[in-house]
Formats: sequence, C-alpha cells, structure tokens
Amino acid sequence: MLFNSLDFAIFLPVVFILYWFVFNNNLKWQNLLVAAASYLFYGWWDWRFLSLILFSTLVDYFVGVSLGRTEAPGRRKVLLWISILVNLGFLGFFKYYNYFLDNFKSAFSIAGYELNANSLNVILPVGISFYTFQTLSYTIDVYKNRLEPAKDFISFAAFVSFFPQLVAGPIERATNLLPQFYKNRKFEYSQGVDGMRQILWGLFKKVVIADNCAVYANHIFENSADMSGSTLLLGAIFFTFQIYGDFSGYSDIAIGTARLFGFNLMQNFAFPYFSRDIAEFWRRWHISLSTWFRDYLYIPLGGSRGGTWMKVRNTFIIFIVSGFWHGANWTFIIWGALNAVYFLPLLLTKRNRQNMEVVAQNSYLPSFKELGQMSLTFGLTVIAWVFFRAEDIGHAISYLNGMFSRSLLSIPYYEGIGFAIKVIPIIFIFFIIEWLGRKDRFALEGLKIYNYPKLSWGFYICLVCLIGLYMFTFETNFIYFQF
Amino acid sequence: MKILIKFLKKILLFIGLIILIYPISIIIYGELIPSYFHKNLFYEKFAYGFSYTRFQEVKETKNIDVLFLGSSRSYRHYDPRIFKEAGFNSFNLGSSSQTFLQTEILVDRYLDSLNPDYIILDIYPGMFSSNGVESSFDLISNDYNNWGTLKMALELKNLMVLNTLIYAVYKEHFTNSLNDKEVSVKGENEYIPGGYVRREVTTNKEKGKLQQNWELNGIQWESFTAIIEKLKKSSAKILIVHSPRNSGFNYISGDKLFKYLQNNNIPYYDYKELKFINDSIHFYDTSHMNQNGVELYNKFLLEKHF
Repeated sequence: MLFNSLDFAIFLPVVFILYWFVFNNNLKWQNLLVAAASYLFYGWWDWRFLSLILFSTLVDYFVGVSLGRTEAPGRRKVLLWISILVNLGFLGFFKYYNYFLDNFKSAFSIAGYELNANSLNVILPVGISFYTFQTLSYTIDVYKNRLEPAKDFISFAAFVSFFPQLVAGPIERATNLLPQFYKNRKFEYSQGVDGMRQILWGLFKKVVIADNCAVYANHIFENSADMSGSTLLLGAIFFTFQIYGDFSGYSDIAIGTARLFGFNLMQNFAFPYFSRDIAEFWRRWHISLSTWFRDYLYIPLGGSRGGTWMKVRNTFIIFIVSGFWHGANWTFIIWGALNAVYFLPLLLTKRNRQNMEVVAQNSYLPSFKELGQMSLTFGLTVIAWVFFRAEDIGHAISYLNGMFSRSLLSIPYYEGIGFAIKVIPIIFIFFIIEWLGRKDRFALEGLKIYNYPKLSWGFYICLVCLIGLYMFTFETNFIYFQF
Repeated sequence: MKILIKFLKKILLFIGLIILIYPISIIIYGELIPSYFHKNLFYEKFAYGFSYTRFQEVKETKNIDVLFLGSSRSYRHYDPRIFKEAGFNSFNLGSSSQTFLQTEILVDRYLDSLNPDYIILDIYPGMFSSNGVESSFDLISNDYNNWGTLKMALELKNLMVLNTLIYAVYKEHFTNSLNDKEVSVKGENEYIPGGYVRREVTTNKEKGKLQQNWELNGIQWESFTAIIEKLKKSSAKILIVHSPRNSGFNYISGDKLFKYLQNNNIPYYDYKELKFINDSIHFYDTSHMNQNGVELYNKFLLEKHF
C-alpha cells in the first residue's frame, strides 16, 4: 500500500479509530491490531511475501529467547550467526543473487571459462533491506546484552512489521522502538497535531516536489545523449530534489503516522542540502542507515581508532557497503566510493566534525562563507547522484562527460522544459520553508505562525491547495521501496 | 477520550474547510495565474478540434441519418458534405482524443435528439488503452457539465480532471462561457458545419513506426460495452469501423474485443489499410487523412454500406 494512495487514506483512519476507540484499554490487543494492520499493509503489495517477514520474525524471536536463556559464549555466537545468516541469506538471495551470478559469469568468461548457470527471475520483496536491518539490530543488541529479549511474540511481531516504517524506514533500533510496544500508550493532542503536520509536509514533498521533479529528471536521464551540458545539469538537480523529496517525504509520513499511534520514531533526515561539508551531509542524510552502519559495522571494525590506514579502510568499507545496500548495481558501489572520496580529506585533516550545529544557527541567512560551503557540498552531491540514478557506469560517465562539456554554459533546453518551469516557483517555496524550519525535526514543526491559530490553519489550507494544484496526479512508487 | 474526540473534531473541521475553500482556490488560480503556469488545471476552451462549435451545433441538430462518433480520426475522416450529396443527413460528434468514457457521455446527451438510422463508431487501439484523462479536458471545457462529467471525473480518479471540472462549472455558471463564438478557421484547419474538420491537402512525410496493441483498459472497456448496450437499444444500425491509417503501424491481437463484437452481432469493418489509400498522398500525418483521402474513403464507405 502506498502512502500517497486512496487505499491508505481509508486504511489510516480505520486503523486509527480501531486503535484508540476500540482497543484503547488493552495493550495486547492494540499491538495485535498494529501487527495485523501491518501485515495487511504489506500484503496489499504481494501477500506471498508476508511469509518472509513472518519467518524472519519467528527466527529472530526464538533466537532472542534462546539468547536470553544461555550465557555460554559459543552457543550465543551460534545463535547470533543463525539470525545473521537467515536474514542476510534472504536479502542476498532476493536482492543480490543475479548480481553475483552475472559478475561471476563475467569474471569466469574473462578467464576463458564459461559458467553454465542461469539467472533467476527473482522478484525483490518491497522493503526487504529495511526490515532485515531492523531485525538484525535486535539480535545484535540482545547478543551484546544491550537489550532484553522480547518475551511477548505479538509485540515483537508488531515491532518487526510496524507498518509506518516497514517498507522504507526509518530503520529503527530495537532499543528505541521495541520498548514502546511494552508501554501503555496515551493519545496526546500535541503529538497528534505534530503527526498530522509531518504527514502533510511529507505528502507535499512526495507528490509535489519529488513526483514532478521525477518527470523531468527521468526524461533528461533517458535521453541524456541528446541533451546539452546545462540541460544535463538541470536533470541532475531535478533528481537531487526528487530523491530528497521522495525519501524524506516518505520518512516524514512514516514518522507522522507513527506519532498518531503514540510512537516516536527516530529522525531520518535533517535538512541535508543545507550541509556545509560532506561529513555534515552524511550526519543529516538517511540518518537511520548511516547510524546503523556506524554502530554495527564501522565501530566493530575499529572505527576511527587505530592508524590512518585503518580509518581510510573503514571509511571506504562503510560507504561502499552502504552503496551496495541500495542495490545490486555497480552504480551504487561507485556512488558509495565517491562519497568516501569526498569524505576522506575531512577525516584525514580531522575536520569531519567541525559543523555539528545547524547552519546559520543564530541568524536568518547564512554568511557568504556558509553559502559557498553549502553550494560546494550541494554540487558534490549532485555529481554523486548521477551515479545513483544512471542505468549503468557507462551511462553515468557519458552523462557527466556531457554535463561538463562546453554546452554547460548554454541555456538549458529540451522539449517540454516549459512544463518544468511551472514547478520551479514551487521548489523555491519548498526551499524557503525547509530553510525556515532547519532547526527542527521537520520543516513545519516550529514555524512561528503556530502562535496564531487562524494563521496556521490558513497556512495548512494553502499547503493542501498547493498540493491539489501542483501534485503529480498519477500514483507513483517511492524510490526507496526498491531497496 | 475527550482529547481524541477534540482531535477528530478538528480534523473533520479542517476537511470541511478544505472542501469549501479548495474550489475557491481553483477559481482564483484559474483567473489570476496565467494559464502558462497552470499545472493541474487544463481548461482548454476553443481547442484544436473545434469541439466548442461542434457541441453548440449538435444542440440545434435533430433527426439525422448518420452519426459519427470517435476521436479526431472521426471528425477528420467523415465529411457530412459527401454524405449529403449521397442523400444522407449526418453529424460528426468526434472530439479530440475521444475515448469511450467521453463517447458514453455524448451518447447519453445527444443520441435521442439526433435519432440516427446509422451510427459509425470509429475505433483504434488507443481508445481502449488510454487512461482517458487528457481526452476528458476537451469535453469538460467545451460542453456543459452535469452528473455525467462528474461521474467521469470520479472514475478517472485524477485530480487534474476534477480541478478542471470545478473551474469549468464556475466558467459555465458565472461567466456565461457557453455563449461565446469560436472562429471557424485555425491555420490549415476549417470547421465545416456538421462537425467535420477539413484539412488543407498536404502530404505526409512521416512514416508510422508505432506498434499498437488492443490493450483493453478496464474503465474504457466498461464504457465501450455500456455504449454498445445503449446503441443497441436505439433502432440505428451500428457499424464499428477502423478508418484508414498509415500502414507503418503494427497491430497486436485484439481477440477479446473481436469476440465480444461477434457475440453481440456487431459488425467490425477493418479499413485501416485500403488499397486505394496511399501513405504519402492521402495522409497529412501518420494517422489522419487529408481531404483527398477522406473523399475516396467516404465514397467507398457509401458504396459499401448505404
């Protein structure tokens, strides 16, 4: 089920009313409802893959219970590996089987051998990378004694399948989300209003910003051979806004929806395009994944302790694995590696933690220096996104070659650019609102107009009207569903 | 519980306000913002295919012999003057990109008063596979709107259609938009009374390369079968026709459609490739004939069926 669909517009109020009005006084029933609703939400896409989630849930639940019953290190390690192998096994099979097979075949053919193995027509289950990582975090935390194993299967099943963030995150830590299923939840008015605000803003980002930018970005990327350098740059910028609007929009809707049910999910985006360097960008982009890799991969590998070589190695590993997590394609690996290259100078000169505060903390506008830093960081990410969006490495390279040609200085043009011009003022409005809200968890959270109820209602109504007048009017998938 | 009720009340109040204010915002947007910047509002009165003039004329027309329905391939392929010479009064109710969703509305509105003896429904695969969104704008902007157009807008589940409908209803009732006059010549196109659009004789240099599939979109198929049922109830003879088109088009199986027509005893005449119609000299683009092509085709049709 898509957040931007009519189905979800019916599903959400029905579950909300059942949750708060019918099962209000019974935590178990509320959790059961959340689990059932989550399975319905996921099964709406393809009910056959519910068995995968259920199997993963059963394995991790029993691994958790068993870990709670034994102190023997050897046995605990075996249990941990069972969970890792099952979860990564599913992920590997569904997401990476064909990729590895094709690469092995190519490698063997270079060596003069022909490998007789056929690719499988594997359907990638929606959101498998997200829920796999979420359940893995549970087992690892239980193994490391950071978390008590779940005793109540329903709560655990609801935690694994929690519908707001099941298919595209935020990838929640068991230590944050699971205990929330054990506590009685009380509806709080301010939390409900906040949730609705965040849903509204997420929807705006998705259906107005991302979906419109997608049309132009797709057209330019698909016909990149015929485009001038400036048009290619415009296409890459459109994609930069598309991916941010799409993914952070999803996260906003997810977090807002969870709030309506009394849950607090972690912040996943913190205005990354206002970053002054790449290190700051990665502290603000897909925070739940970056911190997951930091906690479960980077630190166990040694983190930034040890010598320079160790730091460089670990940085490359984390960025490349992060790229590979996004998809079985060399483009994602290069995208990850390129970000590591961007990050490295900051790490080596120990300037990777110099911009911890939000930009222009005490002023309305950034200084010229900050503006320059933000522009440079934005430019670097635009270049990196070309690899992320391109069909293959060859496409990305030819795209960048075309972009950095003499025609970069020409006026962008392609058939249909007139349509693109229509959404530029809306992107501008979006940009201003995001800037004004950059100190908060999401752009609409702390706008000063909330002191004037009529003004704030007027603002919400304007936003809904803008959505109606500028949204892309066909249902589209979220990009991150494929990961 | 009180807090929850208060929250829900506020949400309902907000939804109520949106329902009231949103249509007003569309009108303000339509009136104040230049149409070049309109995104989800596609009010195109006096558009390319003279639909406004045609819909005005059809209201004054009664009891004809032949009615033509379909897309631009209808209003550009059946010349009422040629039929008149052969002794048949006819009217061409085709409209730009018309799909069955729009044909159904036009049949509901005008079939009884036109009371034809023959109905020629000109079809091609695009009418079955189209989502019908783009084609709805022409009808909404150039004819009056009623429950039929609202039903169509809701079936299409597309906000742009709904926005355009709201704006068109406002234009219709508050600005008297249905009393305007449209010019009868636009570039190389001339409106001929009876719904036809005549095109200067120019030749086609394009070659058709498209592959067309008889892909039957659910809502179009429903409308198509509903139209057939409605037409069958009238005493008119129904002819489903595929008029000539450039031979470069490839067609893929349309078994379901042809079986349905066969089961309902409705003849389908496939004239998309007539020997005497030439790709270059009888077309002005890949799918529309010029006046020379139309004359040959219409005379052939009259000899064969009337």
